[in-house]
Amino acid sequence: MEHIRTTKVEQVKLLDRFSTNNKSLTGTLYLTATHLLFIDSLQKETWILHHHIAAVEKLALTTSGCPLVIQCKNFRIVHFIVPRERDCHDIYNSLLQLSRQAKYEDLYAFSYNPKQNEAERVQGWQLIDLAEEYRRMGIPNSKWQLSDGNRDYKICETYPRDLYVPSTASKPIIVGSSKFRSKGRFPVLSYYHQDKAAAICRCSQPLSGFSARCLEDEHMLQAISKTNPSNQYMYVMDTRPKLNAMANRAAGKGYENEDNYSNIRFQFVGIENIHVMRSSLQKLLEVNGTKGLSVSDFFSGLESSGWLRHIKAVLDAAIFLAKAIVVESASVLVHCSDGWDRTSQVCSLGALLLDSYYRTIKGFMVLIEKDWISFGHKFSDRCGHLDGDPKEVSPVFTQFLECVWHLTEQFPQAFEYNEVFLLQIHEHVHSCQFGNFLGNCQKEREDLKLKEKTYSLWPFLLDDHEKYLNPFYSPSSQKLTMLEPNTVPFNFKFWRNMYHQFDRTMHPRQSVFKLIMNMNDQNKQLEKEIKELESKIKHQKNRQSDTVLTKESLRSIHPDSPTLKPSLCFKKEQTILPVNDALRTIEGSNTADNRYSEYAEEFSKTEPAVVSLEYGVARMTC
Amino acid sequence: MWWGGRGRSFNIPPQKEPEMGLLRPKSMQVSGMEEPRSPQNSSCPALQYLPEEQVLAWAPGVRRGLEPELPGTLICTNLRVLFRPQGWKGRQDSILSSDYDFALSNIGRLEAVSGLGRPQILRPGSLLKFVPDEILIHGRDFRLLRVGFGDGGLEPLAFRVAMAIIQARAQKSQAQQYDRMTLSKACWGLGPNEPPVPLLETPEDWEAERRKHGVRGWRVSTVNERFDVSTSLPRYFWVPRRTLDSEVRKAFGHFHQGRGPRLSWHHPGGSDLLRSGGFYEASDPNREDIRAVELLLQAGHSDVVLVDTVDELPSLADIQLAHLRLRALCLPDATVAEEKWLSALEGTRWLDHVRSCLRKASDISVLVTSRVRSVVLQEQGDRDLNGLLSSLVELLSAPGARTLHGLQTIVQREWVAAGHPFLTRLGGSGGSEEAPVFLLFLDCLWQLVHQFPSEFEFSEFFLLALHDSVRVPDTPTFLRDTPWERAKQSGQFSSYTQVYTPGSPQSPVGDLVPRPLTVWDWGLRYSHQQILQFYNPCYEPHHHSHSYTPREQPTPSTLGPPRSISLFSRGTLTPMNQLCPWRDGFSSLMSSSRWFLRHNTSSDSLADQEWGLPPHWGPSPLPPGLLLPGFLGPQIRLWRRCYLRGRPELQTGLSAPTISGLLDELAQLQELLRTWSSGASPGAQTKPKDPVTPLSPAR
Repeated sequence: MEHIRTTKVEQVKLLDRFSTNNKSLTGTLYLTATHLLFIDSLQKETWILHHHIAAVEKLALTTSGCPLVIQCKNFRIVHFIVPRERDCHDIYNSLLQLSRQAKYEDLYAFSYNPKQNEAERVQGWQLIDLAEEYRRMGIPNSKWQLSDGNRDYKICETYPRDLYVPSTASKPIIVGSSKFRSKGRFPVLSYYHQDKAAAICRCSQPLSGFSARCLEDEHMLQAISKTNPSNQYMYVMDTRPKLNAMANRAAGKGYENEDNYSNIRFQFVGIENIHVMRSSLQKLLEVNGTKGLSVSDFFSGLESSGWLRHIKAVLDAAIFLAKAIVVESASVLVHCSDGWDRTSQVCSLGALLLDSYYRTIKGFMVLIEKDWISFGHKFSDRCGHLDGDPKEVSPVFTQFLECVWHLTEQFPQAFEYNEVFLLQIHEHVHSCQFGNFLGNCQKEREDLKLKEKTYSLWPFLLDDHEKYLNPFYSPSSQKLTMLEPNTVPFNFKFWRNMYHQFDRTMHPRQSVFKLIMNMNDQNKQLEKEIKELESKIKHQKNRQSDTVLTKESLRSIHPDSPTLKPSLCFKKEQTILPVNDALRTIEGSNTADNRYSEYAEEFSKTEPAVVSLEYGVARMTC
Repeated sequence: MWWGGRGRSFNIPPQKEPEMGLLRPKSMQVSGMEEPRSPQNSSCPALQYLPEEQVLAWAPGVRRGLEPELPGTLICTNLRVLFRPQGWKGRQDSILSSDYDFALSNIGRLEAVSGLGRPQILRPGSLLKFVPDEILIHGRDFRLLRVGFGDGGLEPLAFRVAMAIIQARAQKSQAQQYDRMTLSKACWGLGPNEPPVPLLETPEDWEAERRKHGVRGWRVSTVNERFDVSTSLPRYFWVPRRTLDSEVRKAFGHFHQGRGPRLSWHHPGGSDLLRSGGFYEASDPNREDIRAVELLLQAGHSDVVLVDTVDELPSLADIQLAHLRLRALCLPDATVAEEKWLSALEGTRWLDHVRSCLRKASDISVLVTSRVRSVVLQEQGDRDLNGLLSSLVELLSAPGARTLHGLQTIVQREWVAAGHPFLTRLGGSGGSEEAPVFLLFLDCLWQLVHQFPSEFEFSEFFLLALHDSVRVPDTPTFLRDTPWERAKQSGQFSSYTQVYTPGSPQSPVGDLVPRPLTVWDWGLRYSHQQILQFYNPCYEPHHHSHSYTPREQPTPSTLGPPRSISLFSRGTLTPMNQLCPWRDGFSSLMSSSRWFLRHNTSSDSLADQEWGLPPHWGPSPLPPGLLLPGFLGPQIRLWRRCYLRGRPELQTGLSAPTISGLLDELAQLQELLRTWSSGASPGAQTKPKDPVTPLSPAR
């Protein structure tokens, strides 16, 4: 509060970012302890959380007032014009202070009170149980066991307490291996593929320099490859470009030498580092913030930013990983430099491609909790939660979400959640409103006592899960169905709803998603009505012993069914492209999917009408 | 030099058995030919042939490229190349298939592949030097057919069919048309429930259209009945009610190709959208002629805006170049480096052209909607971009036009009847004036459908069908350059050499001769299921009713010189002194210069000027029914389902998107519920009280 000098400024103008003629809305600007609020003349409210503010900029004074540009981490950019310079200066200074806190304790999460009682809060934190998740994968088993080595964060500070390692890896091997790995991040299990008995493991780069080797580390890798009965080889994926990895050797780090490790296949996949990603995103945002953006500027800007190329690189790595496991049944060890950025991206995306559980709402939370939060992705540094080194900030997690979004676009039926869910998570990764993403590793979070002082985001998302449901989701019957995305360049699109989330100018004028959700609601309503009608008919049947009458009554509907038939033929598999699928034409001619025509026939036969209707409803709901 | 794909060599001179090719496959007996699948008797004869169609060669093959691979037969006839999947049951009514038929003129590139060698591009007249393992047929409509041939003694057939395609292409002529095709009545149009598309070949059609639009100040002129004013103009068109036909004839003579100003569309708010050719500057009209021209342009309004159509729009050559580049880019083997895809796409300029068309159309819609005036689209030839703009403006401003029927009517009126030179523009006449203006229009339309998913009754698939239809020579709709040629061909023209007697129905011919087929008879190539996909499941005809109260209807008595004349160019209105370039025209009084000044001083978009805030801020200040599309860079998308159809990578995933899948289920349930509740529920409610009453009236 001590930073706030002016709480209310009137006659502030909000400029349209894309309009070439400086159209604006006039309203009042309020500054609260947590938010900046703008209420325009139409009473529309724009709330900006202080923690979302990435940069505040005061531009040169103009005739109409003092321009103030606020850039947010959720890609909102607002351009105010404050009539008096003094007000503008006050707000500017306050925002500078409020948006860059020095201490965790000053973050919103520590004051945020969502009106939950203590028990609910504790329950919220227990919603996601990683031990349960490993049990779901079938771990521990005879080959993999829980190691208590890191119980007190003695071996690796940035790892979680509970780590799963090969049963044959003894404690001295673990300790020895950790000493040979950057930041002590030795190889541990991230995901176990039950069908193939293959594992995804993760670690950081070895401290190999030009010639150093470590027997314990070699044993560790051997132990991992021996857990896999079907393939004696294992892949070691270095997610960095080869050049970067070689440069690291000069600093006594580097990559595994294939000669020292038996049965490994070494592979670079070439994802750029956090600094390249940061500047790439900056370029992307610059291009897209251009007023009156033309088609050619947009495409050339998009390409030269390289952003989609980086997204493709990450996805390609994940596909390589998933294929190694499914096609070759080989275990894979993934690392980058420290094993918390690119490694998290590739491991989590790989698991997402492999396991349909992670494509559900709950499963996606578990995936983030496991591969990102617990394995020490430095959320606070990467998102700039505190006033710190700007060089540490990088959109690594945003990239992960974007990769997932591209998958949802390519596989519209494979995911239980929709785009809004991804956007909401992105919002809260930066909002500092919940405790989940504060801090850089589990130990730091425990030291901050986040579980006692803050709330967990996940139960709030689950409560709202209806908003996040994908209407096209059709769960696969098998637990492990691999997605095989195609990464030809034209499959990569600019994620408008992320980067232009708040620029309504850029959105289609109507959203198909909303239309469909509305229809879904109608659908549910109709189902309800059908059920009611059904029960009425049943009721009526019980009352009526004269079956002839019933027959008559239902026959009166019959004349309508021929007109119904055209729409009945409109089949799901017919809705793809007319040109693409040849089989369809053949099947179409003998109406392969005749559940509705059956349904209509049944319908006219009186007696089983109710039964077949139930069948139809069942098909709708499943 | 003869060489085989996998080290074997074949020497099959095709001329040895020339009679083989002309035989129908039914009677064809190839000795020693192994028939791996069902006997050929069942696959080939099932095919119905077009009149005068001859099978030149055929070979069993496998459709590749898409999962699953599909066994069938590749057949080359003198009219088309087609693939018939095994077990394909031709529909009773339709002979053509939208999926596997390639009219010879539609084949853009033919390639033969053997083994791992480089594919050989087969041009008309070139010689095939090997036995192909696979033939790739690239359609000029972006479709791709890949047919692979297995071994097992079938190579001679594969070779023969490839050679036959080469020869057939060499002999084809663009204007060639599938003749004497018939269609059962049930398959006309979109189906029995849709009204037929007015072909606008009779004055009755024009009169009915005029009434439908509620156009009062206009009448149907028969001045061009014998195509003597202009062969590219329709036989009938709308002119201001107070203008005599003789005046029309005189005035039109001073326009390029005799294409004077005519009504294109009447906005329910009162404005009129006119289209006109360029002034014929070399002519020297007298005073009365100028007066007539001016009255035609003014159309009874006091505000006249002349729109320079080509200004800021791509030229025909630009459009053609962009389209060629786009097609090259979208070929499956396009050699574009992965990281260069975006700049290569940008380099085609196609999307930029789409953007400028949308932008201009949206500005003109504002001109038409914002106040009552006469807006005249003027293009030198009046046969290309005028049609594109007038169609887009109508679709943007009139909700009623956004139905399937509405769109077909617009295409028929503003493109077919208005004399868009389809044949020339689509490369049929072999001239250098090729430019796919109509395809550009379809892309613009797709952008609108994409941006406003619930505003249009038609779906992307309908646009695709329209896109693919322009190259199928099954109907004369898109195969002619002018209405005159079309009329000549359909044989109706001869009946008009007789004296025209007003009031008598013009074409009793229509009852005797079978109704000529048009492109709107979708049953020709599309199955019932496919036609159902033309409907957009998200369509909500909510503001269908015209909520316009006609403002300030022009009163004919006050007709004098227009109060304001302006030129719309570069996004702004500039006042003009006179309408016509010739001297002696009346000049503007410049009385309402206030209106101009405001426009000249600001560079705002027109919508901003007219209604204040941009439409995305706050409650929409736009007039009801008007759509203003976005045209910033990220809002213009590539029509992937059309242009990237040949790329198998597009079809990935566990299953394709099924927006409509879900929606059909909903529609079906709704339908059932409606049927049920109307039939059963009143009974269900009353029966418990008195079971007999609801049924007793029926007895």
